[in-house]
Amino acid sequence: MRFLIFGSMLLLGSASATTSDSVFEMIQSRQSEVVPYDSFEDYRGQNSVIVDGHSFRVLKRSPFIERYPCKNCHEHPSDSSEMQSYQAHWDQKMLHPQFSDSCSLCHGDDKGLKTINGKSISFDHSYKLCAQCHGIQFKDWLWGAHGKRVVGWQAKRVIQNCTGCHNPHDPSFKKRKPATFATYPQR
Amino acid sequence: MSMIKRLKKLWIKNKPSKPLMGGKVSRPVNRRQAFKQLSATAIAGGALVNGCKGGVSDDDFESLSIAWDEYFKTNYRLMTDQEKKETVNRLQRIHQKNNLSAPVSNVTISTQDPIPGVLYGYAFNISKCKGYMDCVSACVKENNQDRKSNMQYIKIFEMDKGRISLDHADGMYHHDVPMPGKFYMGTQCFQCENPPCVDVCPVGATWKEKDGIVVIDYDWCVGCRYCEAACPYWARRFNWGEPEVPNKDLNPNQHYLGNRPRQKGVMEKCTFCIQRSRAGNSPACVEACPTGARVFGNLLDPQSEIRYVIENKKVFRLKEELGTEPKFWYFMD
Repeated sequence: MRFLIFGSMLLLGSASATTSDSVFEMIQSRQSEVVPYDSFEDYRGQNSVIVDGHSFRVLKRSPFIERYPCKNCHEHPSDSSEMQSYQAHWDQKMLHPQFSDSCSLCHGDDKGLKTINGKSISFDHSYKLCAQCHGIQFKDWLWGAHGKRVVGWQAKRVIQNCTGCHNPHDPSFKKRKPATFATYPQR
Repeated sequence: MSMIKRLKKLWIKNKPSKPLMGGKVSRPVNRRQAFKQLSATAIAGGALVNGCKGGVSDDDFESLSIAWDEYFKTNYRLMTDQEKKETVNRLQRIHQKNNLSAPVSNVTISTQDPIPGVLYGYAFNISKCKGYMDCVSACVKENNQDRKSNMQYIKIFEMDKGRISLDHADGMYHHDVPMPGKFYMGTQCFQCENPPCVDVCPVGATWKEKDGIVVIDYDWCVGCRYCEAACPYWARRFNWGEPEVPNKDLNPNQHYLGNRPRQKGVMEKCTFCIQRSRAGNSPACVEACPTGARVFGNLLDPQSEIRYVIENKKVFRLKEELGTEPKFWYFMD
């Protein structure tokens, strides 16, 4: 019994060893029969919003901003002494963009952000603001070569907004210790 | 001594000594001992199957039947759906019996088949990786790797800018990253389309699934390590000792061919987190990467991110000249 199984496994092994097509040939040959796999509906419960004109989503930002929307403070600045005691934004360092240290270059309006042309943008869609200068990165981000993936690999996926990884006022990644150390596999 | 008593003794002897060190499914009967007693067990086994318990308690009887059925189960590829279900139930029961009052007392072992029309591919952005190694630690947690030897599937190499040669790479760096003048390149199992590790396996314990993932049947592997020697990318790992995962750190969401606990003396490797990818999630390394350097997707879907990267970026594969057809591309901005 055991030897029969062993024999059949050898046969199976030799049968599977015959494929040597290149991956690209495989993709070409199977192109016609393939339907894009897209059956996961629920976005895994992430608090996300759909990207205009695309099938994927970005994580929301506005629910995590204290005292949002801006008019909570900025419409009644002198009304309450409590509001004045916040010293809001006083510790904000402006390292980016380098050519301007004016808040109103990007901020303004009730939703929080505005383009150079004055069109208002929600914090949830901040990629539109960044795309004004960073067009190449934006294109890569839209199609998948830039940006962090949060949920899924199929068409209905959730990805990080620009501000999920980059601090908009200081966007570069910082030096830090690695999360773990490498081990040499025993041989 | 009767046969049942002997088997019972073996079961007790092979029970994990520390109940909190969960996550291991030890082979209940040592292979050599079992063959010695095979002639005697033939009769006793018949009795067990027929339900003649011969003075053994229900609990022991269950352990004995599980041990018996687990030992004589067949290769995963030859199992019917019913047999797959039975072996999964047995493995889950063994975990439950060994970890009664532990934090993770129940595990779910999936046997989900490949999704039709899906061929997994992976891309790694060497311009973006900063060497933070969050992927490595996420991988160890997700795949229940041995914490004693700190086994890792992913290796991140620190390399000099301007040359792509692993001869000058440092895979053991431990300092603040990123270092100026260096770039970082991660390797793991590349799930070759023409995998040399599968060709050399003498027992058919490893094979390529329809969705392109190379998997191992841990219960069929004899531990000869031919595949480790055959792999040009050093992607396979061997369990020299009994793998230990503290029960509280055990990932209960498992796959039969993926992250279910391994035994001593078997090979294991990256499976693109088969338990996650077949459920529509990205592998743990992709989700953990803080810089978004990792792209995962379906190579057969023209709309997928991985296809965009391959078609629009400068890509290369490691040791492409060997003809192994790895489904893992490196790209740069």
